Amino acid sequence: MKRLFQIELLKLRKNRAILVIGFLYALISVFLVYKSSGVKTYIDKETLQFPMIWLTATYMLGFLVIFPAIISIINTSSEFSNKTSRQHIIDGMSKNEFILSKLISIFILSTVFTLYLIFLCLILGFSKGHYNEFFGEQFSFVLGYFLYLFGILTFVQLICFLLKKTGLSLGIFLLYYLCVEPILYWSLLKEFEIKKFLPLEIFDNLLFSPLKDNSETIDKLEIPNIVYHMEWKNALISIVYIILFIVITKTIFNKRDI
Amino acid sequence: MILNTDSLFKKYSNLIALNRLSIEVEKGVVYGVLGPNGSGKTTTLGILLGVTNATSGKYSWFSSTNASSDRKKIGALLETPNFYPNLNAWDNLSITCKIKQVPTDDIHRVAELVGLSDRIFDKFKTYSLGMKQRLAIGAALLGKPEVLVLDEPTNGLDPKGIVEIRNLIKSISKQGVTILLASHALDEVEKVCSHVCVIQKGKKITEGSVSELVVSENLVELSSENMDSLEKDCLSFSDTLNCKKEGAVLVIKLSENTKPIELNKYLIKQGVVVNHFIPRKKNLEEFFLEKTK
Repeated sequence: MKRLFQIELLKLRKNRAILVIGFLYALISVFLVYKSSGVKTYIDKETLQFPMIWLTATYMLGFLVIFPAIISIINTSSEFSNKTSRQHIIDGMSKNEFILSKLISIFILSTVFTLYLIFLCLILGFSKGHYNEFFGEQFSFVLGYFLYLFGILTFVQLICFLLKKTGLSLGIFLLYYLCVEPILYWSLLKEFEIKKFLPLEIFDNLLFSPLKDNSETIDKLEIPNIVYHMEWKNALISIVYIILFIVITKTIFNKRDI
Repeated sequence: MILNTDSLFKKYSNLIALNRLSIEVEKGVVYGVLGPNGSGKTTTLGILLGVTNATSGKYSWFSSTNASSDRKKIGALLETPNFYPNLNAWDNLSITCKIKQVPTDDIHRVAELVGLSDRIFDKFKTYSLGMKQRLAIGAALLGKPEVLVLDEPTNGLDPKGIVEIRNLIKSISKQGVTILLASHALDEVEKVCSHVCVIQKGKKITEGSVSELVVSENLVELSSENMDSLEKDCLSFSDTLNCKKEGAVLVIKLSENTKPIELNKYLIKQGVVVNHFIPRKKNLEEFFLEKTK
């Protein structure tokens, strides 16, 4: 386990493309979170004040999931294009160990992005000053954010293992993320229950929009539904999806000649 | 027993790549798998190294069954060298070390062995083809494996590189490492291997020690100024089986246990002087063409 961790860390750390994307992310994320300042939530809390900032930042940075996704696609697809996946097996990794090592790589990515989010929140939050509560129930969204990243990245892994090519995997993921699922979501509007179970929607539910309760479309009478913590039910469903994606990835990889 | 396979069978959608291949490799031999392109050599090695799933059949390394940890005791180069182009050779080899659970100190030794010590901190993508191949062989040698599996190890190298690699293989084999080598180059197998298995269309055609297969006929090439009288003299030698002209030389087939020197002694006694005298083994090339007809 430790050696797989060291191997994946080395691969991620020494890839220039990944570092550049990470740097871009660091820049954009600050603007994005900072821009959400000033939006008043329904119960009149400032979005960037502790503990509301945990909710706001996780939601805003959720939009940038495309960055870790691209990093993960570069990282995993290169194993196939460089045939290093093949070489790892030849050198004595089992196929399951290889899948585990790629899961470790997305675990590392999710952890790094989550730690960065916490760091960003601390800086922005403290710069806002005065607060009553530091963590609050909103801090559960940080865990939600980690699961959100890890979940979407297992989905991305599945695409990479299936298609093996960097460009193709990226294209298909973007297509699904930006087109297919939104269209499905809207077309399934009536069958409300079904659309809630689209994979990316499941992970989306782990986060919560600070703007939702400010929206004019929501009748004030409906508002008691609003919760300021991650719903554990959604976390559980997400974990089921994550396991499902991993099992599918494993089946594909074990069946195939590499 | 280092390796034995039991009726390995591999079928791609409409092609039988490997047809019930059973081989046995003893410890310490240099075992060549010889066959034309597309005969199933790489498929065979791919199965033995866990990257290709056999349709049916079994194999075992070191008479055990735990395939993935067995491979840590095997150094292998399958087809092209596979490394991360953006990492330097040291990082690439340290990844291999971690997979094989070998201390990274061993990198110095193999880098020295394949002559890459002074380029070890250069990125893999800056390497020439020959260097890439040497690095791959170096990676295969990490942790002093008991077995080395090489698939066309001299493919794409220049003549100097080919000689270097062959010498390296020979010196490794002298240290008692068992080597399994796939090649379509007959002279390579002839020069390097002690045992050979010839396959075509996934089927084993023949198997045996190289010396056995190659010395099945005892031939001597001769020429002199007067070819006609040379032919007459040779035919008068009691151990000559037959005699035929091949271009400018005469090819004499001697009986099985006759040494070429005896023919030469006899000719000298007859007062015949030759300007060309080469004992010839029927080489693998002829052998191969004959077998794969």
